[in-house]
Amino acid sequence: MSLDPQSIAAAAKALGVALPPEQAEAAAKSLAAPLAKIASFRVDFDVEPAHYAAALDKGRAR
Amino acid sequence: MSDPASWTLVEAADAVAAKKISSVELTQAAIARAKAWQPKINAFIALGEEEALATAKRADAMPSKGKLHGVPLAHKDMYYRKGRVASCGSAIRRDWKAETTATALARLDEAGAIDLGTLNMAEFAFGPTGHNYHHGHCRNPWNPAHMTGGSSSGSGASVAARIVYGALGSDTGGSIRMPSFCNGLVGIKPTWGRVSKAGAMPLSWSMDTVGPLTRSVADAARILGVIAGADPEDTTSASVPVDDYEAACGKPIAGMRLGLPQGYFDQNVDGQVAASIEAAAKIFEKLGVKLVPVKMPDLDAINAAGTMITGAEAASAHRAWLADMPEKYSAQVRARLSTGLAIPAVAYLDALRNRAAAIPGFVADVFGQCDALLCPVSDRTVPTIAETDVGGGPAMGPLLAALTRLCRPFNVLGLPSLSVPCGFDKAGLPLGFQLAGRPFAEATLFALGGAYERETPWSRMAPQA
Repeated sequence: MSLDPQSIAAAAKALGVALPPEQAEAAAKSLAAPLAKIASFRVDFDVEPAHYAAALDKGRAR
Repeated sequence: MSDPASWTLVEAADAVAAKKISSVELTQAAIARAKAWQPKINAFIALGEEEALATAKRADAMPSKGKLHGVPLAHKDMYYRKGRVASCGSAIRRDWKAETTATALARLDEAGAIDLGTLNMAEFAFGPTGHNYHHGHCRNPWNPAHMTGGSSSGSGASVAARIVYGALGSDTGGSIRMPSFCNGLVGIKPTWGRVSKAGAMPLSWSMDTVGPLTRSVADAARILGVIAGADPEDTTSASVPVDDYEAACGKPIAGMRLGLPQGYFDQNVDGQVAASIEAAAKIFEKLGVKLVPVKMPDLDAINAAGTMITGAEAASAHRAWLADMPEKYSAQVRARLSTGLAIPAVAYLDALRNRAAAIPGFVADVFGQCDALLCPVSDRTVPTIAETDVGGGPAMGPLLAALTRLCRPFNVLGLPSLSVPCGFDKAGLPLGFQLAGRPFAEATLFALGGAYERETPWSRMAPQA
């Protein structure tokens, strides 16, 4: 996953927010590394986004 | 009688209970200190002098309500109190009055605490330095040229200056621990869900936590014991029973295992900070704690997930204001929030799924080897306000990422972390470490922190007025 400044500005515009070009450029730069990390994730098919709360409960000492 | 300003919260509460001092006397003295310090450190956004004194008078006329009876506190200006302005450190909410009272404030009220007013904070709690372009920068009482840390900047400054005996902060990426570090205080970022977020301004709902900054470990234990526990107003609050945190502070720690991270937390850390952590480890060893080297998993991946989660959740919360009144944000906060608008939904959801998968692995791998981790809070000594004044420009991203790098993993993982002062750097600014534990193991952290504190003088040291 990576984003170019034009698509970032377009996404923001679609949500009603006007982003100056330099801000879209900065956003593209700052998101590049974390998006690359996300793209490398291989999470088990059955894990749901909200499971972290249950994971905390299961992780406590008993 | 010693100067009440030098007392801990526990000592102040005990003195009120024993009628050695009245709540009015304590509150009047706190107001006088607040007024004397304000021009130097800008800790308060609004000092509620009349309301606080009226509550103190009522407290003196009634039997004790609880463990905080008659003790003046003040809180980050993001905790709602019905009918009172909660600016959230912003221009947008400068005059906004809350329609409800935060559960955390209500629980402090029920325990008898006096609320002295609202404290400075980073705009919408989205900044780790203590800069605020709407209400003025908050300044470090140890040296006003230096930053307080954020986002709970006024909480750190007001407690360090011995104005109040404790203050609520919030921690989404280090916002309790960083100001605790910078101001020489104790701060607890509890397990996610341990304390209700109802009536607390949201920044990133799945990462936000509520906790206190205090002068001592026992003070933090007392406040957390009052505010922790399930709340029907916050469906994400945990129903896990609340331990006796104050009792935990006095428990023996000999035989406990303290993990010394190998990797990540020992990388790119200033020499003075590293030396302070080594010195703290030696004290724990002297107390009979077994030091265990523990290899860290890939925490850069955890931090990447945190960037996605906080960015997307904060951008969602602010999207309408970003569209309608972008000029009312400071350049830095506007830039950071706008970046979040570009995060793809799939990336956000994958980050959440990765977090869910990472927690069991981290808990098993790390806390299978130790009871808690000993880590630095910050990679550097406390910087000046000037050198961290980067606005929304190109220096912003690297600086903010570096300042929060050592705190954020525990937000993403939802784990509790206790920040404890551990000395001073060559310039006379405080140093500190954090102890992180398994989910809901706050009592373990209080036991370790309390034992360390009894062996060292740091928590008793205060900046000169």
